[in-house]
Amino acid sequence: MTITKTIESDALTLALSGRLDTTTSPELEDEINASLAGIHKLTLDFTELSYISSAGLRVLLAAQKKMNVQGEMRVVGVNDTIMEIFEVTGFSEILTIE
Amino acid sequence: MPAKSVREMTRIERLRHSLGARTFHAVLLLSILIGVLAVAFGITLYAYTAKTEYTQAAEHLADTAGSVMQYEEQAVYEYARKIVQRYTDAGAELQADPASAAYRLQFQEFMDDETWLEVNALLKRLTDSNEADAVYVAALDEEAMRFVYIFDSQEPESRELPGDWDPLASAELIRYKESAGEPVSYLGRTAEYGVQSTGALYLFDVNGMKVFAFADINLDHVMQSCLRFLWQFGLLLAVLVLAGSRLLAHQLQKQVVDPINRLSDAALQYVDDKRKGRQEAEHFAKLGIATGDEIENLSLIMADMEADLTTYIENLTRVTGERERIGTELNIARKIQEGSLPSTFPPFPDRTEFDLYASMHAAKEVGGDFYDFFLIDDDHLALVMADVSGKGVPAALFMMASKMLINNYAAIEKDSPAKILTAVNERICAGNTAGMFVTVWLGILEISTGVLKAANAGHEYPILRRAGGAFEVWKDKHGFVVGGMEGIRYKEYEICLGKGDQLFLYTDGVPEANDKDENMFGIERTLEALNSVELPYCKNEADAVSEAIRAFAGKAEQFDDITMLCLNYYGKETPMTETKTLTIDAKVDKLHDVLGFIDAVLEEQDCPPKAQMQIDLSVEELFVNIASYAYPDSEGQAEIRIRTFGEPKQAEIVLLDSGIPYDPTKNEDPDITMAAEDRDIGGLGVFMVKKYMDSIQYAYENGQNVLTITKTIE
Repeated sequence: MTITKTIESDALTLALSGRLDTTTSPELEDEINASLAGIHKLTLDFTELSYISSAGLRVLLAAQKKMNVQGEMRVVGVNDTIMEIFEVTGFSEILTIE
Repeated sequence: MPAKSVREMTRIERLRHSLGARTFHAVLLLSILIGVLAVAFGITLYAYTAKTEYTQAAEHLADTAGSVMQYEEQAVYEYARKIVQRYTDAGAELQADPASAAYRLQFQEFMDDETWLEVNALLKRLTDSNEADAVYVAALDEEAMRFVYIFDSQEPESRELPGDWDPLASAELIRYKESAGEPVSYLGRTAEYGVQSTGALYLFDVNGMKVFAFADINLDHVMQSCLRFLWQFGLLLAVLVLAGSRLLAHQLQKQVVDPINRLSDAALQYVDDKRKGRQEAEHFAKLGIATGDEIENLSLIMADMEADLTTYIENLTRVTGERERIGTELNIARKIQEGSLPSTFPPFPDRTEFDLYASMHAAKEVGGDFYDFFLIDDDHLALVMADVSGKGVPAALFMMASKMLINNYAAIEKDSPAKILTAVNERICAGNTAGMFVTVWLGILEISTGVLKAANAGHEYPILRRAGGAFEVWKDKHGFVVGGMEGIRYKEYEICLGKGDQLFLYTDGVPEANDKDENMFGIERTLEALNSVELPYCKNEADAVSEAIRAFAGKAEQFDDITMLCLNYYGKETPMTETKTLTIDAKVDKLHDVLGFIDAVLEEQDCPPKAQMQIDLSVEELFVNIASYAYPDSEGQAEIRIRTFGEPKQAEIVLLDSGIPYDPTKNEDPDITMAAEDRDIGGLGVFMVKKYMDSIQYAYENGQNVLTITKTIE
């Protein structure tokens, strides 16, 4: 998995590509923990992401809880298979998906 | 009932709890009650009698005094008149202090009056002869409520002088005024005189004041003797009661409590000896209780009971030991029998042309049903379904022999089930002294062509499903049962199996399974269960029939062995792959190796990307679970098996680990409707596996967690 990071003042965009699974999700968690200070708008770009497991969902939930406090978070470019995972697990109710 | 048993009580508690102590208390209480009542009654009676007697005496005395007065009436009247006159004349101020010298001076001249001295002396004699306290004449001053004394019988030193007065109670006055020629009496208590009975007789009026003759009898000494009687009686009663109840309690202790205590001690000793295995046999008989009542009777019965129990326990011990031994042996027999039936599935992991599954549930410890399957050679698979007559140990012995014989003859006559059965029949009949027999369906499948040769020796019809069709009973030709008669020639027939065909074999335990009302499960329900399976696969059919029978039978006891076998035939163009196995360290960083292994198989089978992603996801969740939790204190390995099978094609992945037993299918599903703040991520992985896979099954076998998931991949 690769993470491409873009910052415009208080807006952070993380574009993910590849697989967000048990072994790669700690990378995203570290990245979010390191970059979130002063960020009011977090965008996760899933356009190139092919796969997400419960470990990835855990990181998304933690990020959403943080952003609920300090601003807003949205997830963009979600493909059908990942969307189905969000729906099955109820994450589609929690996340802002565009 | 006491909260503690006698055994747990302290000595003091036992004493308090004892029948003797209770009787003692009860008798004591009752005696005190009766004593108090008797005393109260005695006193009341005594007081009443005394009162009546002394009242009458006072009245008589007053009457007598009155008569004496009449004798000197004129002089008495005259003297009284003078005293009353002087009293009235003295006025209220002087009257107020009758002891003052000024007041006494008013009456000085009457102190030497002869009438006064004579009458006083007369009254004195009257008093003495009647043992009264005082007899006197007084006028009643109704305004000031006073007795104004005129004559008095008492000794000069205590005598009331003419003009002296005492206060008069209004109740007294009312009583005295009732006297008109008849004496009246009044019982009263004053601080000065104590309790006394006063008799009064009206004599005459003087200057508007009524003059009476009075007689006082003091009752204080009566009251005193009454009190003395009281405490003497009380003391005597107490002594009697104490002694009586002590005696009674003692008798009770000796006659009842002690024998009972000895019985209960013997019972305790009995239990203790039995626990510790001591051989003392006469706990109750040796007590020798001879009270001649129910307790002696009880001790005799206990002695008899002990003797009976001893015999009974000896028998029971022997019988129980025997039964345990038989139970243990049956258990071992069951294991041998179970072990003789092939029970690893899939049975031939490297054969992709067919798959099969079989199961047997014996009704008793050991049963008479059996199934069998074995490769005679590379291209011939033998299938056996058989049912021995009868149940239990004889049937099991017969079954083992039959199974071995079929197996042996199949190796010789590999081409013909009829010849095999004919040969087996001859052998069994030769040594069959018990007259037992076995029904057998025997088939030999030529794996490469799908040609199934079969012979039926009195067994149930097989059930067949052609690819894409429904399960139907295949009415084949029946021969006679094996072992029933010598010289039988069995006939065989052929069924040609094509790709996707299924064969279901069973014993009569399936259609004849009972519910609690003794209705039979029947062949129709069997077909219904078979046809309800969505993904045709041998184990699914067998499970469906087992489940349907379980639901049908409910709580009814299983009456017959339930045995079945299901075969899927695919032939050369098979959707089955050989089972591939990966053994790997159970560590999270091996995840990509695991997924790579899975993906390689799935891609080779043209698995759709979405199904592949879902399988990957499921395998990841389950493998990460194993890696994280199965070996908390050590490092271990996980084994992953994958194969595909069936039409439509399914992938089956089995994950095995030797870690702590854990069944993830029992996890409660997480609440996926909660807000982000309340969400906990736990359990989401297994939840997704359940959602995405067609089936997830957990078993703990041979010290391993075995988790099997399947997913349709076309």
